[in-house]
Amino acid sequence: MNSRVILSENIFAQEVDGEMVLMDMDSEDYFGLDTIGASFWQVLQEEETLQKTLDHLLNLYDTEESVLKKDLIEFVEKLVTNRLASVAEE
Amino acid sequence: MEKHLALPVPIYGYHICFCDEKQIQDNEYPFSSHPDKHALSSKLISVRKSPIQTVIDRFSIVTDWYDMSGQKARYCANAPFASAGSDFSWALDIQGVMTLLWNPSEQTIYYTKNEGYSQERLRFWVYHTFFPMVLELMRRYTILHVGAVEVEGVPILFSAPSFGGKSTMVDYFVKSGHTLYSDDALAIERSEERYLAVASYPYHRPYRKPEELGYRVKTFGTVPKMVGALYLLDKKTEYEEIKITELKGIEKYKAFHHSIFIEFSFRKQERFHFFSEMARHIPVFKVSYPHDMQRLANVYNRIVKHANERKV
Repeated sequence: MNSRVILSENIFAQEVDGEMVLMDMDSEDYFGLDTIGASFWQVLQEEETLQKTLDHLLNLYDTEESVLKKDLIEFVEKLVTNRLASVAEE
Repeated sequence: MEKHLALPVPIYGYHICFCDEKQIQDNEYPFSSHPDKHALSSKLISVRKSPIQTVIDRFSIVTDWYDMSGQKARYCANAPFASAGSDFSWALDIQGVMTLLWNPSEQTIYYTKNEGYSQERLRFWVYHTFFPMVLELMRRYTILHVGAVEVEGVPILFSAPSFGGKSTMVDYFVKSGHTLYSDDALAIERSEERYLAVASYPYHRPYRKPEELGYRVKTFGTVPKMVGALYLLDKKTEYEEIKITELKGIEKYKAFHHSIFIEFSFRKQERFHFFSEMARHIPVFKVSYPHDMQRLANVYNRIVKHANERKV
């Protein structure tokens, strides 16, 4: 959880109706994040590590830490799979 | 109020004078003998025969050939297109047909004729392709690949994939007396959070024959107006019920993104911001409808009712 999530510089993001629209400027592929995903994305931009991101999200959502951690890791894995982010181990 | 076309109508908000093609000029715009003195001369675009036959030789950048409206065409300029602004001169070379050159300082489109040239083709390429590209490169407007008509004074836009029924729908609306804003390419003028529809040209082609503008319509949008909504046409099987649902978020963005008229790759970022902002301000509805011409009147009635109810 001390890893850093590096969001790709070639991604543009814009909020539409509470959802986040992401565009990969290289491939021009676009992705949609629902309201929870949009929230995860915004907090990832602000925090340095995965752990700090989780701590921040725990302040926003009234949910079990283990559930939120699982959701966050799955979210980051999807970002990496779609080349929207990379993970740097500390 | 019905707008008859006895007077010159603006093309993308401009008046276009085919100075050296009297037949087109007489048909299109009954200007006086001095079009430069027209009241809207500041928005007058001249189309003139080039005094030089080989304009391509003047350009250092000449692209590969691209498929365009059934022809091969290539772009020519002396600086990268990514640097284009209001003073950017460039040309479109349509293989074996003609070359069109934009001279921004003279607000003039110059053309050179090749063996495939005709007056009809000149009018088509200027209205349908070249002038909207000029306007987009000048950043004057963003051009959308949509049909557009007025419903009770408010422009509504139709978007659809190829063969998705956009032309058929526009045709039905036009023949039902609605004012045409766009057969194929609509200019959008953005002013802060307002998105104005600027009508393209007063022709409609119900069947997509290349290099044809189609028939001249009786009523045409001469005044830019706020866009009411975008309707994404989703043609289903002939047994499908007619259904109109509002799109949100990424689906809404996609409806605009798929309406790109000109795929200039260097405009990706600008386009993304423009369309995502537009998606935040303009409602988008998906119209699922049966692939059955017998029920087109029902689809028309549902869309008109829906558009009117939104205004109340």
